[in-house]
Amino acid sequence: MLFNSIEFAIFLPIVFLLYWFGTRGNLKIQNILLLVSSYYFYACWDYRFLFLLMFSTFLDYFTGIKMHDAKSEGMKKFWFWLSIVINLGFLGIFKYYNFFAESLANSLSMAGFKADFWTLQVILPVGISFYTFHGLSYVIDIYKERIKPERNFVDYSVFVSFFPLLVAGPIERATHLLPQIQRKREFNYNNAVDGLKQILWGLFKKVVIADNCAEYANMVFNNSGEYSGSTHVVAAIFFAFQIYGDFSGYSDIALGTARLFGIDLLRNFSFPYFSRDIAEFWRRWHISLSTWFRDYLYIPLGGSKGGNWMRIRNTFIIFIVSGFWHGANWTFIAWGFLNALFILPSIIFRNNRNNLDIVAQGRTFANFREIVAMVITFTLTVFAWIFFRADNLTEAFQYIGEIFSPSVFSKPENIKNSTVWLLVGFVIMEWLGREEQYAIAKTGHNWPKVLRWIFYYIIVILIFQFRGLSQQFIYFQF
Amino acid sequence: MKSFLLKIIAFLSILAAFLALGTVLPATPRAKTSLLFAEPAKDSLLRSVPSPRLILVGGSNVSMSIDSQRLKDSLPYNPINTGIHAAIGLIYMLDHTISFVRKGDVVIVIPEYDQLFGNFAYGHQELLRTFLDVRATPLDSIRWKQISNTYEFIPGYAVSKFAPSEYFRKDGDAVYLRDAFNHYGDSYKRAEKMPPNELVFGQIDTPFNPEIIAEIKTFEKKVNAKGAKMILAFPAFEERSFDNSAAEIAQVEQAYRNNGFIVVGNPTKYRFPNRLMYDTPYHLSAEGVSIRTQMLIKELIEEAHLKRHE
Repeated sequence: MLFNSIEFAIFLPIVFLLYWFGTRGNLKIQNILLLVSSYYFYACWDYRFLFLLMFSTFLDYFTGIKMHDAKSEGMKKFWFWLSIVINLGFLGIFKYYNFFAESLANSLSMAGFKADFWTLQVILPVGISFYTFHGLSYVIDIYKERIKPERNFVDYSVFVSFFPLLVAGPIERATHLLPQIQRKREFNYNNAVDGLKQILWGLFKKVVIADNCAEYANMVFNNSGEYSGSTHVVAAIFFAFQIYGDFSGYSDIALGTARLFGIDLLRNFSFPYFSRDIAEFWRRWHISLSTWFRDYLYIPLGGSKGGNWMRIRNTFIIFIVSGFWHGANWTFIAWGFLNALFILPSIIFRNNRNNLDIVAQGRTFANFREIVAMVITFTLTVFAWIFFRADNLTEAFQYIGEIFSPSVFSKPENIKNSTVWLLVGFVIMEWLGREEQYAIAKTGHNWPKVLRWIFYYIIVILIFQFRGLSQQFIYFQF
Repeated sequence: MKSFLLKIIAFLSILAAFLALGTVLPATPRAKTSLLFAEPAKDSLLRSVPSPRLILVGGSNVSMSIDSQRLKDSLPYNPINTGIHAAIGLIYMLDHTISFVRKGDVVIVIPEYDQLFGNFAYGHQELLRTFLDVRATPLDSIRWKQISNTYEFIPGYAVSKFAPSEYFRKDGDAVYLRDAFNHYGDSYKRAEKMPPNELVFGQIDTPFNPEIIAEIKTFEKKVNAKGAKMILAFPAFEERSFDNSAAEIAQVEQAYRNNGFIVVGNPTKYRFPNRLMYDTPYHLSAEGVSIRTQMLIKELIEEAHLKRHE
């Protein structure tokens, strides 16, 4: 059930009405309803993997309690490692087994040995990387005694499976979400209206921006070699907008949906393409994953406390692991490596926290220096996205080779004017709204109601009129 | 909460009224010039062309790759090219054609490969426009799966009725307009303008749909019951697009042969070089049309044992 499908447009109001009217404000019933709805939502993807989700939920719930109640440090460690090994084991089997088996077989064959490993003919369970990381953070936090285990199984299950975040995040923390699940929730008009606006903007990003850019990016990436260098450049830029519109649009819909139920999820995006350096970009892109790696990998490895070498080592580790988290392919590892490389100067010169504020805060226009910094950062990001999008490293290098050809100075082919104008309008809206949670959060705040409604109708009509060919949300595959 | 719900209902009611109005408004002047409006003229051919007839069924691969005059000159049949647009869906094409089939007709069905995968054969936006704009009795003989495949296009369709360009711009590509077809139903205007084909179709990424084979089988039975004959053939397809879906195309051929259809030719023969294509991987240039038609004639005589023109 995609967020941009009719099925979801029917599912959401039913759950919303049952939640606020059918439960009479009873928290227990509300949570049971959220759990049942979430499992139904997940089963619509593939009901067989629902049992994997349930098992993973039960494992972390059970080991969390066992760790807390353990009489000895040894038993605590036992339960901790049991949970970690099984969680990562599932992820390893479903997501990485084939990659390792094939990579090993290729390496052996290059060394002259014939190796034929058994590969799994399984599809990747939707959202496994997200809910596994949910569970891991919970178990690690209990082990480190940052939180106490949740003893109510339904509440814990809702924390793992809450449908807006189940398949593509944001990756929540128990410290943030669990208290909200346990607390009585009151309907808040402003919060609900804000949620709807965020859903609307998320839909626009996904259906209009991402899906239209996807058509062009797919055409060129799937047939690299058929097009000019300039077309390759445009397609790479379009892919940058595709993945941003797709993933941040999904996150906006998830956050907006959760707000309809009185729950605030972690912010996942904060206008990353207006970043002035790569460090700032990573504070603004997929925030819930970046902070997860910071808290559960970078800091335990020593973080930035050691000397330059340790900082550099740790930076490369988290970026490469982050790349690998996205998928079992060398392209993702190369993407992570490139980002680590791009961030290296700021790590060495310790100026990675130079741009903590919002660009041109309180001003309408950025100054020349800010514009140059944003353009350079965006260019580096787009370059790295080529590896993320390519099917393999050879294709990525071929693609880059096509860019650096004389035809880069020719006119790009087959660009739809409508897509370009929509992108221009989108960037302007995002720029104007960059100080808010999402671009249209405050748009028309002081306008008369009629004008405000006209503004929302225009977005709806743009969605209907310019919707691109429906594409799967990219991050579902992770 | 009450205020919230009332405002939501008011907002959605206005939107629903706007969309309903758009849906019931007649086709716009621009829409009326589109090739979808060629259907009544093609229906008229199906009603009036005398037997014995050769009815060609498929999407634009049929309208833009056959020279019916050459068919007529080579075979003792009167050809009718019913091809309009692949996205109308094979199911609609078969349902629509069967009522016109007469004793002695030879019906040559040439589905685009996508028709056999996923739900493509149940139609897309073009089917919705055919039902709502073109047909006099819009909901007559529509199937549930066609509705479920096309309802998502209703809002876009409705909104288009309010777009000024639909009323004041009529500068569509002459090749894809209602009057781009000759008296056999072939699209003939492309010969005047020949842009290179820049489009390459990627691998077909939806699963093979055996239901469609069953639908073709049912159609064949109905055709046979009328004393006519059905033949399956393969579309001419641009080489790179062909290679991207080579495994899927082989699956289609296998399914045709395993189900006992009369099949002429094979897909590889119709893997055409890009220089013979026109605008898309399924449309042929004038030279491509000539080669493809000649090949089809040869196969109909040698493999389907149709008589040569005396």
